[in-house]
Amino acid sequence: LHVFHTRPQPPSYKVPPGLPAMNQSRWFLHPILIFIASIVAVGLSLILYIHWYLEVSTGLKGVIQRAGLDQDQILAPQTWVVILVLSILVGIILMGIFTIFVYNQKTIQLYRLQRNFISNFTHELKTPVTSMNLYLETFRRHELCREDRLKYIGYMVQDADRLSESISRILSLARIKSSIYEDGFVAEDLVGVVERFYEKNRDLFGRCEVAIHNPSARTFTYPIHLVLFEMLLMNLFTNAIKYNDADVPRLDIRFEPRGRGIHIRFEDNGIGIPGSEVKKIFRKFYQVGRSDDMSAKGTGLGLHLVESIARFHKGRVIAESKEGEKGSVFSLILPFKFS
Amino acid sequence: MRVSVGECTQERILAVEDDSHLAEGLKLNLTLEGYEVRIASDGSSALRKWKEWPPDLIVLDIMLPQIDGLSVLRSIRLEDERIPILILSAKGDSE
Repeated sequence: LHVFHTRPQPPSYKVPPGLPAMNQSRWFLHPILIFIASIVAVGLSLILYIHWYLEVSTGLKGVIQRAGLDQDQILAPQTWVVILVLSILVGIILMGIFTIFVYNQKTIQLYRLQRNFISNFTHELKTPVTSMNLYLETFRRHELCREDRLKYIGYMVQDADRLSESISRILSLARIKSSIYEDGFVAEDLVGVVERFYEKNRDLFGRCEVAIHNPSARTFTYPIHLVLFEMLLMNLFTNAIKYNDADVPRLDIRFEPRGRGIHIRFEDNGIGIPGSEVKKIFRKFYQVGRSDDMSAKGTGLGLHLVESIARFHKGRVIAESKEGEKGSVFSLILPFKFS
Repeated sequence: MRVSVGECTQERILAVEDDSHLAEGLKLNLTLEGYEVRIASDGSSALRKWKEWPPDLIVLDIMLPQIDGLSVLRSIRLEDERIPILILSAKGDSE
């Protein structure tokens, strides 16, 4: 645990000045400014080139007239060729600058994402370790009664679980991203897979009522990677139960063929997702609020993993939740044609 | 600030930590050391408790849901320049 002491600020400082200005670099090095400046410079030089060219050619015209030559033959086509060539060159330069600019912005974005990822994941790993450490130190320094000791040992066990969950999630994610799972695809009947998964893990979902509906009674055979697909199901099932304060949590799974794909809808009666958050929940480490109940604490990786697994199966996941209404719906959309 | 430790007036510590295990562990240890401890699990409740129950020291986690620790720090410093604040961080050494 790192402890920093913030000293009281001298009275003249109302707000610690270092805090908001921490990441500010010199304004003239800002990429957008450099981008605009380069475009203005190139544009200006084009105008100046044309201006000078016209001036020179006017001078030349005078000379040609004095010499009594046919000026149309010499100057007219040349002027347009010069302007055209200049414009094309300037266009290429502008395109180049634009490409570099976009590329640079993307790199910066990627860098930020990565930095966030590292910082958040470090936090996710360090918190349970810190907590375990804290309790172990407490045991060493203080004599606690048996009841308290058992309670805190229980916390430490939960912390160890949290830690191993974080580690296994990040490892699966890394494996998906590096496509280590690529060979394990087998064509399976999706309804059967979901039913078998539920039967196998029924104990884990406790009081939650789960119903699987297949109104079209069709068989949906799709190549899936069973380990990953079950991981996706596990995340969607546990989310439906975790973020649920109903007396009897309920999860309805519907197989609906629509257009060119199969929609598998996971509909729960849980707390739902605020409208503003629906798009963000698939981001890495994103969590909607925080529950006081330890069981609802995750790594913020679950839905990101779900989305990555869906993509790995050439599909996608969307979330729907109506503001103020109970429940949310996660739809896994898989194309009929797996290519 | 109250100076006497433990005897006449117990010194008050407000611990702001969103992780319930860490918060309880902090409270346990500080209570065993003879302080009066209250816990706030997010930024807004930290600011509320700080006003309702003025502490002698604030132990503040930086990564908090909703309002982050730095904003809490800033808000507190705007009104109170003297109160000592210890910043806790489970993050890496990069800060």
